Formats: sequence, C-alpha cells, structure tokens
Amino acid sequence: MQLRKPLLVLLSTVVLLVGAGPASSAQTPALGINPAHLDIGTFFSGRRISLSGSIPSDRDMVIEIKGPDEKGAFNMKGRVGPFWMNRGKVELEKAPFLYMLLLPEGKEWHASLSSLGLGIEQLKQTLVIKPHNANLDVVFPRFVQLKQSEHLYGELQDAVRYSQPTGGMKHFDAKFYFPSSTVAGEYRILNRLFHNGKVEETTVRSFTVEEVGFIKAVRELAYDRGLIYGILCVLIALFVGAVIGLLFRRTEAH
Amino acid sequence: MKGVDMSWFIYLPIAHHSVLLPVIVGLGFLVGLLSGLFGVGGGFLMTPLLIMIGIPPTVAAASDSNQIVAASASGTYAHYRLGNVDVKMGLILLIGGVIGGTGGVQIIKLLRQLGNADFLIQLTYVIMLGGVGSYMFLESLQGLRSTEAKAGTPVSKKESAYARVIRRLPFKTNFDKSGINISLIVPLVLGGFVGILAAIMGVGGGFIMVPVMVYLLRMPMHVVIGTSLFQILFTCINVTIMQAHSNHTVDFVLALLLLIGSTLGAQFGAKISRKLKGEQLKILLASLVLVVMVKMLIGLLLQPHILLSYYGGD
Repeated sequence: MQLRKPLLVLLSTVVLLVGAGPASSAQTPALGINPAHLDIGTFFSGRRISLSGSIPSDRDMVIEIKGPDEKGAFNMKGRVGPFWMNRGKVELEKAPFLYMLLLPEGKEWHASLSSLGLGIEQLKQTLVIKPHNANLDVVFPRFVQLKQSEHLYGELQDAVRYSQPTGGMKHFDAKFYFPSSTVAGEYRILNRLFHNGKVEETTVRSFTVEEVGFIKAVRELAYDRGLIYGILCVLIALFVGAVIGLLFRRTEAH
Repeated sequence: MKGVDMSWFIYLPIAHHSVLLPVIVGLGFLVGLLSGLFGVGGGFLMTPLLIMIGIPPTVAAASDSNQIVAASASGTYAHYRLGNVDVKMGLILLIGGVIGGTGGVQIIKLLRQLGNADFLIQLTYVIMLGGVGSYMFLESLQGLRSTEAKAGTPVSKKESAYARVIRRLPFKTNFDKSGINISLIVPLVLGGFVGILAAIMGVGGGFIMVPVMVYLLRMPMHVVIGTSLFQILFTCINVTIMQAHSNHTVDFVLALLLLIGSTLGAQFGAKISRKLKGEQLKILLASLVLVVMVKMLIGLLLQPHILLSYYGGD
C-alpha cells in the first residue's frame, strides 16, 4: 500500500510526458544556435551566429534577440540662442543593450508589429526614465536613433529564410551579426511560432557572451585593482616611451 | 568589414569596441608627430578623433592621457638631449598647474550645480582657441614679414605695462635654459591660470601653456616645446592614475596601440622641429588651433544628427 501512491504519481507523470511529447514536438520548434555561445577574445571583431530549425509549413517563425538589460545616463541636446548644447541629463533603466527582431520572408510584418506586441516600440512599455517628469515620448525616439546608429537596435525584414516544405515541414534559417561593440552578459533569444497571424508558442533560449583570456584579465584588473592598474599603465607607457627614445638615439648614432 | 583580414582587428576591453589596428597606430603617429613638433599633448585633437571612430568619450579622454605619458616622455627625452628642456621652469609651472587644477575642479563642480556648465566649457574652448590661435597666427605672420624685410636689423620695442609690472616683482631668479631672469611668482601664477583652464576644459593644457610661455614668459620657442612636454608628462601621469582608480575608464590596450604610434611620431616631430624656424612652428600650431576652433564652433552651431548622446560625451 505504501508503494501505491508514489507508483501512481510516477505512472501518471510518464503518461503525461508520453502524451505531451508528440504534441510538443509538433509545435515547439527545436532551435539550433551556432555557435552555442560567444567568446570575446583579443581579436574579437563581431561574430555571425546562425539560428535554424524546422517548423510546420503553415507556420511562421519570428526571432527576437535581446539583452542584457542596462542602466544608462544620457545628455539631452537642445538649442539656446544660436548654439546646440547639452540641456539636461536623463537616465534610462531596463533598456536592453541590444535588440534585434528577425522577421520572416514572404510577408510584410512591420505594419502589424504593434498589434502583435513585437518590435522596438514595445520596449518603451518596460523602460524606466529618471527624472520621472522627463518626457519618455521625446526621449525614447532619440534613444532608439542613437542605438540604431550603433547597429544595436533593429527590425530586420526577410531575415528568417525558409526552405521548400517537405512532408508538411519547412526548415528555417536566420543569420545575425553580433557587432564589435557587443558587451558580455546573458542574452535571450525568443522564438515565436506564428499561425494565422497569432502567436501560437514562444520558447526562450539563453545565449551567453563572455570575455576570455587577456581581455578578461585586463578588465578584471582595471575594475578590481584600479590603482595598481593605473600605475602599471603609466609604467608601461614610460617604458615604451623610453625604449623608442633609445632606439632613435642608436639609429642617429649610426 | 567584408574583405578585411579579421586579424587586423583588436578588441578593447574597457571601451567594449573592436578597432582596426593600423588605424589606431596611425592616429597615434599623427598626434605624436604634432606633440614632438609643437610641444602639445594633442588631447584636444586625439579625443574627438577617437570619439568619431566609436570609442566612448570618457574612455577616449582617459586612455588618451595614458598614451600622452609615452609620447611626452619620448618627446621630453628627445628635446632634453637637444638641450631644450628648462626643468626649473617646468617644475614651477607644474606646481602652479596642480594648484590651479585643483581649484579648477572645484569651479567646474560649482558650475555644474548652477546648471548649464557644458555651455560655459564649450564657449571657453572656442574663445580660448580662437583668441590664442588668432593672436599667434597674426604675430607669427608679422614676425616672418619683418624678418624678411629687415633681416639682421635689431627691432627696438617700447616696454609694455605687463613687462613693467613683471620687472618690479620680487623673488627674481635666473632660468638659464630659457635665458630669462624673472620673478618666481610669474610662472607660478601663469601655471595656476593654465591649470584652472585645463581643469574646466578637461584637457592637458599644452595648447594654452605653449602660447603662455612664448608670449608671457618670453621663452625661446625651442625651449618652450621641450619644457611644455616635460610639464605635460607629469600632468598626464596624474590624470591616468586618477582616472584608472576612480572611474575605470583607462583602456590599456587602446593606449598601448596609440602610444606605439605616438612615440614614433614624437621622435619624427622633434627631428622636423629642428629644421623649422620658431616663427614657422608658431604659424603651423596657430593654424592647427584655429582649425580645431572652427570645427568646434560648427559643432555648436549646426543641429546634431541625434539629439541625445551618452553622458560624459560632448
């Protein structure tokens, strides 16, 4: 009798899993990410990542890449007399460092993004602005313009490409370039499966970007031991200056 | 990016930015050349150039100070060997500069509390650059013309009120390298004045210090260059350590690439400066200062493309 309850729980779990298995695999697209994570080393200059998988042929795949959330301070520019200058400071919180929306081919999506709850404009909902009396409607478009100029925010039409459907399924493939100004942190990749213009399912994958080797060592030294780092920077600068000075002296002597 | 060998790129750990190695070394060389040629640190030129290629403004300014340490060390050494460094004068100006700089930091704090300090900073920049550049340019032009017209003829000048006041001041001392006998108070006060301006404008102050030494201390141009570099060296050592310790904005990788170029440039600059006359050097520096002033003025008058910038930037 004592074994009956756990056995029942186990059996019902197995039944649930078996029952849920095929339905889940039919709808939830398995997303392949290549490479699985990104290392920022000495010669990092940005990196292309590839996202791929298979979905039913009558569905669409929309991919969002965003993160990490950050807090930033900005100067607002304004005109005083004939001069353009900084006129006040604003702080923005909970804005992702990077936001990219990869839209599928074969359909115009931009017009319907707002009703679908997708796109750059939606970021405004979660953004926190300080001082609280600052006008987010004025600041947000400027913020987006600044991010777009750095290639950190974008909505890319036809970025998700499909193969010819076979057996009711089609293969999707999207390529995205992490820019050279990418920062280390946890990014989220949200795959939204669309059917008849509505989100059917959303899966979220985490994508890690981390600094490695020399870059990591320099950054840790700069932040954890700032004074020693500063003195080392000066000593190395003096050494290089002196060595090149001596080299020139020898060249002149010859 | 396409078609470019990726190994030429290098990632900057503090700036969070990847840069093309030859571009950064080339920039360093160009600014180092100016440093060796005119005795200026080049911060007023290098920082805007770095911002233009995507380096955050605070990192650009702090890392530039670090590279100036190497360029000015290399330049000071080159000029010292040529007998162009007045160490005594440089130390007094430096003491004045440190006192003035500390005062300047307090002034900027006060200005920020009063609001719109940025306007005053930028306007000070334009007025100083415009005034110094124009005066140097015109004076050098007159000098070149009079040299051509009256080669070898001594010019007798009437003593100005400034010269009379300076002559009456106590604590006179001999500055052998500069060939002048002047009160200690003069370089101390002038160093303090440059220190205040440098702190307000956020620069090393070389482009203000050089005209001060030429026109107010009446030092020979070649000694001015060496002595200015000597003073800049110590100012930038202080700034680098302070910025690394307090703000974590010194990017060593960026500074290293810049300083490889700038130390080489400084050596070439020092060599070229020996081949040019004092008036020619002054007119070239004046032209450079005026170009930067015009660029800044245009920046103030034209509407920026994006009406938002990162805090700490321009």
